[in-house]
Amino acid sequence: MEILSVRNLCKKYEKFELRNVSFSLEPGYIMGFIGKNGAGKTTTLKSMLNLVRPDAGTVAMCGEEFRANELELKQRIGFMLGGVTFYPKQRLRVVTKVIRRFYDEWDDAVYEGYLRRFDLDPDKKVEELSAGMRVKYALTLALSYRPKLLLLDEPTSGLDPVSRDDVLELFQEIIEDGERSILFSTQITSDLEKCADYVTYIKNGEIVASSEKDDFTGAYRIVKGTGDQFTDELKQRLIGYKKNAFGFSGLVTAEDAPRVDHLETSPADIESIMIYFEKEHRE
Amino acid sequence: MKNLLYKEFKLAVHPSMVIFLFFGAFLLIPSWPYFIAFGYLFIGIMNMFIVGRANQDVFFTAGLPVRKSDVVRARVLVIVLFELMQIAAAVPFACLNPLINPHGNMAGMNPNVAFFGFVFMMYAVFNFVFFPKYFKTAYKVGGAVVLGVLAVLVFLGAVETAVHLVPWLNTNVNAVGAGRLPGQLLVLAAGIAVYALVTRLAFKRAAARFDKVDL
Amino acid sequence: MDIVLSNTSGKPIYQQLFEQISAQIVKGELDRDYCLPPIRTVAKELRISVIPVKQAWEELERKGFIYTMAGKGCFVAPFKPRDLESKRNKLVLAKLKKDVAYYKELGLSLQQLLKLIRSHYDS
Repeated sequence: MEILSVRNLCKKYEKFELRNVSFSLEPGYIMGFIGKNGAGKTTTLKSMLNLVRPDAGTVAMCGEEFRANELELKQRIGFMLGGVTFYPKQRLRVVTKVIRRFYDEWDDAVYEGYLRRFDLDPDKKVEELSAGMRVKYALTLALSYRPKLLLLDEPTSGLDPVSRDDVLELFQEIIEDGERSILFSTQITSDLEKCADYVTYIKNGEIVASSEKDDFTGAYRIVKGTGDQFTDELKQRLIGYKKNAFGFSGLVTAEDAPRVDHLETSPADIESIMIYFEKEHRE
Repeated sequence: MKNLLYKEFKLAVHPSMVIFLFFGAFLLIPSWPYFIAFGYLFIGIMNMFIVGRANQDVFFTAGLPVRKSDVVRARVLVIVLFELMQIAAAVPFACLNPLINPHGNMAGMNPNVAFFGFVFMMYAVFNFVFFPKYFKTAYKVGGAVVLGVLAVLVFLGAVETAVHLVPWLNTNVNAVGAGRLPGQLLVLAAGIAVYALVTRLAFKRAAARFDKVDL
Repeated sequence: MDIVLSNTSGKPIYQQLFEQISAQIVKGELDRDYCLPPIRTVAKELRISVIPVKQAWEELERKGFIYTMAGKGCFVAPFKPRDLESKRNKLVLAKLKKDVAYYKELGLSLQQLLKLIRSHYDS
């Protein structure tokens, strides 16, 4: 059974539109949510949580429709939209004291455990925390009631490589029992190479692909060639390309790869797929 | 809701609101427009909402396992609580007022039983204007407070004028202390009824507007 | 159970997992009914995603190296020594076929190939 299902989510702003965003996730997996700044990642997450009111579409978590079961579902899911920035003058101890009352399943032992693990001092004020520490505190709060589903907006941004690795390892620990899932957005594609099972890629408010990570990367190939080989016919096949003084490089679908076998092709990674997609139709 | 109220008092309530509670003592000033003593609360409310904005309070609350409308409900409840406390805190001083103004208040209405009926209505007017206006954006505080206070001033102007110019009202409603009690009690009852109904309506409108706000 | 994954071999992760574990079973390094760790634990330990591990486990089961007990996990299948040998031969053959084809393509004769194998077998 799906633990998360987003169907045809739409939200129209003056200058931006989320169009028919759909994807789903089963229990026990990690899904990476990628796209460049302004592509609609945060808007999607907020629309899923009813913080932004979607114009259309349905969101179901743990098998229940979100809007109809908001109160109960918020007890069972954890979310984090950026680090903790609210009440900067308060000590962590006080903020926690307020928040913990709201959760039936809050577990002080789990909370204390993460505090120690992340080296967070509860007597510090929120404003005294670095960006990375704020993220860790937000994660601590989101994990302390053992939610079934975690929706995290850029949980690794602002973290140094070591902390980032810790957090990604923590993600794998969380899904280890096979019952919980994580959806997290990121700009750092190596995060995904390390632990994501699925990748969902959003561009200009539309989902380009949502699939198993290896299927996602396997669906494309990188081609390289000289300037002479860069024909108009080839250009039609390229999803995106970059030209340089000596030749070009570009992205084709794996289906198209046999048609360009006179050129050198190589496997694509997530980062290059994103880069070429964003270079679509541009010189 | 208990948890949300805990949150409001622990994090959001502005200290000035507590201090202003003592301003009920202004009812002991000889001959004064006593309604003003109840207006300081609006400054406290403005402080609370401005500081709340700086602290991203709305975002904080919306992140908790509560309904979006609960964000509004908690806020309205806290303000109602303070309005009621503000009124309650002034009652003892109102009882003492006839000792200071034995011939009645020269600068406005006597702080009698009916006076409190009008205070309820004055808060009702403020709530009715302020909450729906503020929760349309959940961000712009200043305009909502100013509009609320302006509405209150218009209302109070009308009350003071009517009470002083209409002879029947002047005798029955502006009596010193507990004189002419039936008429006064009627105003008080009307005030409480208006307050309850209008504040409820204000909450509903505010919640409906806030539901459309994109956080 | 030992697993060492290579990022540079170009071989898919699931295939590396399959080859290494099946080899250990065939060599008898993993006893019958040995309980394999849960796939998500393996993924966590190796810092890879869950899906390739799942694919490897499925492949192992399909080829008869392991069996699943619902709710308990995956276990090494009980083999008689003869079965093991035939399993091993199958694996060797599958690989050999591919390799031989490759050597033929490169123009090696059987003699040349045997010579090369002999000189490298002990080193």
